[in-house]
Amino acid sequence: MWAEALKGHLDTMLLSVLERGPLHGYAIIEALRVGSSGRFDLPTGTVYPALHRLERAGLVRGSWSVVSGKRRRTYRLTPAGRRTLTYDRGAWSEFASAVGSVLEMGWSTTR
Amino acid sequence: MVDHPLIDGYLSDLAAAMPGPARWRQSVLDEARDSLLEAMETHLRIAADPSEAARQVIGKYGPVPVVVAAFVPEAAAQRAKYAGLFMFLAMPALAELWYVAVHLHPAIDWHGGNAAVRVAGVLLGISVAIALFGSLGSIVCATRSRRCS
Repeated sequence: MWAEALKGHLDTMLLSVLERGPLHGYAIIEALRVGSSGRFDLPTGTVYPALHRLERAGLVRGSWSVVSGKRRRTYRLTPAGRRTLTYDRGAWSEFASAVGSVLEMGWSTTR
Repeated sequence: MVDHPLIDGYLSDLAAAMPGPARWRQSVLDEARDSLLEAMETHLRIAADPSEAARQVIGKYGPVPVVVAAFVPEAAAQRAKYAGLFMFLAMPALAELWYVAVHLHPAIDWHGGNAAVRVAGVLLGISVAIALFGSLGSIVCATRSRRCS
């Protein structure tokens, strides 16, 4: 259920995690899991394609380095990614507030 | 470095099933390997049995068909980028071949009254233009997905 609900928001959440600074893939996924108190525990392998898609869109930049003898790819937010995150955050806030208003409204039934 | 035959087996299955250009595929597999080994190190701090840790890590990474399916659009974009680049680079070679063909057969009057030759020239021009715009378009789509979605 969570995985389905996440589909439209994963990109924004990934950008948000990277706002704090450059991270490698596994650290991004762990940050997502910890930040959601374990609710967003997606199959790790399906998050990497989203990172690649964001890179192709110019919103994040990936670079390879060698850490403790292992090749590691680190992602960082680009200026375009930062702008997109600001816009998406505003849009989400507006949307969540509108949905919340409707859901919490006290409806009276009329016949 | 923490390694395990189960992780190696999983990566081999992933490599066999992953579509896309070889260089891009290798980079996907390197990243998968790094992620699995990093997760393995974390799991070994909790679970003492390396085989159990490897099974958990692989389970969390996801079944091979699910992971491959998630990568399919990216693999297609990479193929489009390579195809576009190939078409773009092939164009000067195509023009050169036509130039050679024309000079090898000077008897053909390209500007004269032969209607078939004139039509062929126009068709050639149109096909080169389509190839040029097509290749540039696919390169742009493959590198900046949001512009084409």
